[in-house]
Amino acid sequence: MPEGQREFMKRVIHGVKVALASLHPMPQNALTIRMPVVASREPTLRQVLADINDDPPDNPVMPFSVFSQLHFARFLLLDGPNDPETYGTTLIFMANVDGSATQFIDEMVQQVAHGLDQVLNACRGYPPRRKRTRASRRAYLRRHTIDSQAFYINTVGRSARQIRQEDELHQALQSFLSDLDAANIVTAQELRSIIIEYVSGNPELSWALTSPNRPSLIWRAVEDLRFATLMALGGLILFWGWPILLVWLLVLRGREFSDEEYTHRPALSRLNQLRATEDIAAHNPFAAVGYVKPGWLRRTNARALLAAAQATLRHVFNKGDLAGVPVLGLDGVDTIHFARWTLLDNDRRLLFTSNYDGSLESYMVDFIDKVAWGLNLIFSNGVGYPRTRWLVHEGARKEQRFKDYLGLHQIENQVWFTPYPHLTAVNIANNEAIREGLQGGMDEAQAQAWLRRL
Amino acid sequence: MAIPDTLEFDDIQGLVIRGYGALPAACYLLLKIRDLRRARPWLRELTGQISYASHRPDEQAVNLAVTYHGLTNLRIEQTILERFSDEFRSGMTTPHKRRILGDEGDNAPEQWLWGGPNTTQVDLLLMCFGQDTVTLNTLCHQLRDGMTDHGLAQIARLDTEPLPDFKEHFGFRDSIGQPYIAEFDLWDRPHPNPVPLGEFLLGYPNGYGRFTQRPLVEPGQDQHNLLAADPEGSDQHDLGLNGTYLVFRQLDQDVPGFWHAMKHQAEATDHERADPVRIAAKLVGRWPSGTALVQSPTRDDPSVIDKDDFRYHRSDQEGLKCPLGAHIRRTHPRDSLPPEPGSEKSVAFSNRHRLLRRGRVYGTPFDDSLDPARFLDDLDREEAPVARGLHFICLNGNIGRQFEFVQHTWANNPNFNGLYQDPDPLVGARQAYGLPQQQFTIQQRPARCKLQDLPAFVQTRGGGYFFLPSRRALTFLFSPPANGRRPRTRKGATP
Ligand code: HEM
Repeated sequence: MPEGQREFMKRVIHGVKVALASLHPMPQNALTIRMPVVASREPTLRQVLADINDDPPDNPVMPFSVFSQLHFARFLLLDGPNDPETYGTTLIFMANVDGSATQFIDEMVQQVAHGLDQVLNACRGYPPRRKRTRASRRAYLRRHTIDSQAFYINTVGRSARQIRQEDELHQALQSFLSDLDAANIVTAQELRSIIIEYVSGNPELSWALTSPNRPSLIWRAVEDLRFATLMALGGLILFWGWPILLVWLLVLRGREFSDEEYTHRPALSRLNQLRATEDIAAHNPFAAVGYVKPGWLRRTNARALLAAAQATLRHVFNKGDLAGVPVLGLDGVDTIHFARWTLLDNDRRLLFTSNYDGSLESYMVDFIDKVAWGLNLIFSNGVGYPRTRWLVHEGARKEQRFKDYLGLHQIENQVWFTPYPHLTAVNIANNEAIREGLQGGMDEAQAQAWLRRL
Repeated sequence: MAIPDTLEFDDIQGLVIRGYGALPAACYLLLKIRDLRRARPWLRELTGQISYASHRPDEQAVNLAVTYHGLTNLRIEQTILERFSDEFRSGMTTPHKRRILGDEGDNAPEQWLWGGPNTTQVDLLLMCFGQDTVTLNTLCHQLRDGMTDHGLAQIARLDTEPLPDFKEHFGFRDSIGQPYIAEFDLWDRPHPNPVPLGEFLLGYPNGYGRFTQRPLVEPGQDQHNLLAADPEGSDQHDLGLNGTYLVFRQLDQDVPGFWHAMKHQAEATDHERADPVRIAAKLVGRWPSGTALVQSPTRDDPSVIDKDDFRYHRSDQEGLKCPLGAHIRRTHPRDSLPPEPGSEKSVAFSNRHRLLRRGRVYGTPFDDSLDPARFLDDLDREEAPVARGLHFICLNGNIGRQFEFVQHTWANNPNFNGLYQDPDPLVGARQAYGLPQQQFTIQQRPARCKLQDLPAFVQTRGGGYFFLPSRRALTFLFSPPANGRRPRTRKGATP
């Protein structure tokens, strides 16, 4: 297919997706905008981004704290693919937002138009000064929006506003408890009712006695229906297609023997440059990009597995425990806030980005110890990935090879914003459970368990 | 991948398998290489004097470790240098390392007594042990006279002071919790959770059943076959085999500050029956005698024999006995963390982050008895602060996954194990993400008791990452370049 036609098809598919999503919207969404950079303007762009990153919430260019529906946001500069070797650097903006991605674009155009101009001035095709209107900016951003093939949300439906509010609640309850003269309080139930009384008597906290805005019943019913349909579809594919899948698997198994595995290590200076911006909050942004193994087999495989991952992430792993399947003895990871997988350059490259708690070392340890099988399934389609066996075994379990592989593919984020830098995903979930425990009746044991959260 | 039936104990430095408990006098000499040509023969001769694991010394012992800077000064080829681990090559003081290790503010390397940017770069670390001070001093003088005649200079001598009953300065028994390594156990006691040898010695399968990154050299770079073959089977020679990495941190302890704070907290909280020692025990996770809170929750019971024989999940999941944030519960969580707390999986996870501690105490004790009750009798007895603390030394095969992980992900991390603003009360950084982190939570019923505004009790005064080579590796490092071993070509600055 000629490039123009393919581009057109992509836009059509994207349009259909957006239309479908507006009928049954996800409460949180991933926005990815990829814009070509004009080579001569890259140095200025880097400076503007550095200025923003000096103080992401409150800088004069793009103060991210004005967006109440925003979780994490980042800008990164991505080199073009190796082939053809022309200047092909793109600027990527990513945000995890409550509400739809298009709503967020509108919001940006309204609130930080001037900042957008300063940044996007370096991007090819951005409306020239005279032609900059809300509509033209919006059109540009929409035109450059790309889809992610899989998107992980720690807990579907938990908004940034809710996280901030429940953080305030937690802090207020901590001070209350610390000041409380607990000498005469014996039972947990007694203490719990004193706390509830405090909350209801405090106008600034009384919102906590209601449940957070959850997706409606209808929404959940549609979601269940969607899941059932996908399961049925998957069942049919398995039922009718198993001989093909089996052959597919065997062919891949064969490839595993011959596929190249990188054995070199990343340069130390490069690693230290990456580390220089890490560990300034309770969580970190991760970004890595790599080539998908050439050939339609691997590309189709990557597409198919990402589609399967997307269905699973959305319908199964949506409550804070990524890839945990106790009945199968699989341990989940509860330290990832958001993650997404985005195919680029006609499926030649895969960009993986996430926001995770703790240091990169502990993140890699989680990968290796707990979810190596899942990573292997997807990333073994990447050139140079540590050799896997039967798609799920080994791979990331080869600690050093895997850490080197990540080091070879990690890229820097020029800008990163977090609205709740002191909270881990576990803290956030705990805060929600504290709020929920303010309602309803509890026996002594339940009240005791609830108080442990404080 | 099998471990040979018998280790070559005469190739392994003695410090790996023993802490030289029978040699109470010790000091550490920090050295700089002045003139390599003269230093080489002396150092080579020294390798014969070093104590290896095959022999249990009862008079004196010497062990030797080298920094990355030392390796470059020994003119080791760039291609070999690059094979050492990233952490060892970067050192302890990069901007990122400062951040994760908590070496900022008062702990900043600029103020260190050694190992920082403002002091002479350390090349070698000589660890000397003696049965008494006289033996030790004779040994040190002899070494020092030898080295100054041979192109080496002593940057500093770090003294130690043995305290009775293996106590550290706050008054608690130390040196109890250590990883059990079956290959080192001459008695072959059954132990439920041995830690794989490769976690502490390079060249053996580690906690993932694989070989940890280690320096391998091309056969041509080792023409005299000084090194052993790569146990993983390649045709390369293994410079790492039977060696390991050594982490050194000089940590000053503010003893009166610590007990003042305990006293103050006891007065501020009515929960803990106003007893400073009790609160301090909660911070540590052990009583002064060393008995763990899990073993004896309400009072110190020195009679407990095996003070290391306990787990957390079954007996104390909620932290009612030993708080979740206590020093020993976070530096060695045993079976208390995911995956599946209480399971062998959880223990295996914890065992991939173990440290073989070999440190010693320095400075005179606050009170000779080292009894906290005596400390508390008069906390203002010292007019000026006295320098005392712990020369924290630990051995590990993977500094990133072991020492740095324990220090950062477990000790400094205020969000450890579901907590919010609680760093390790003894050694954790009191600042993170631009916010003060000064709380400690004592889990209890009906509701927790929170200690607020805990000041820092420990200050970093020096430190470095070292390589503790095998006997063969020492010989290799101190040999003049073989024919095929070109002198080091300097391609720009070393990273
Ligand atoms: C001056 C600083 C320090 C003091 C006063 C101190 C004190 C103690 C004490 C009293 C114990 C209990 C005895 C035992 O279990 O062996 C202990 C155990 C331990 N400490 Fe420290 N410590 C210090 C620094 C560190 C550092 C920097 C680390 C690691 C990063 C560390 C890691 C450990 C470990 C792994 C244990 C054993 C826990 C177990 O196996 O249950 N300590 N420490």
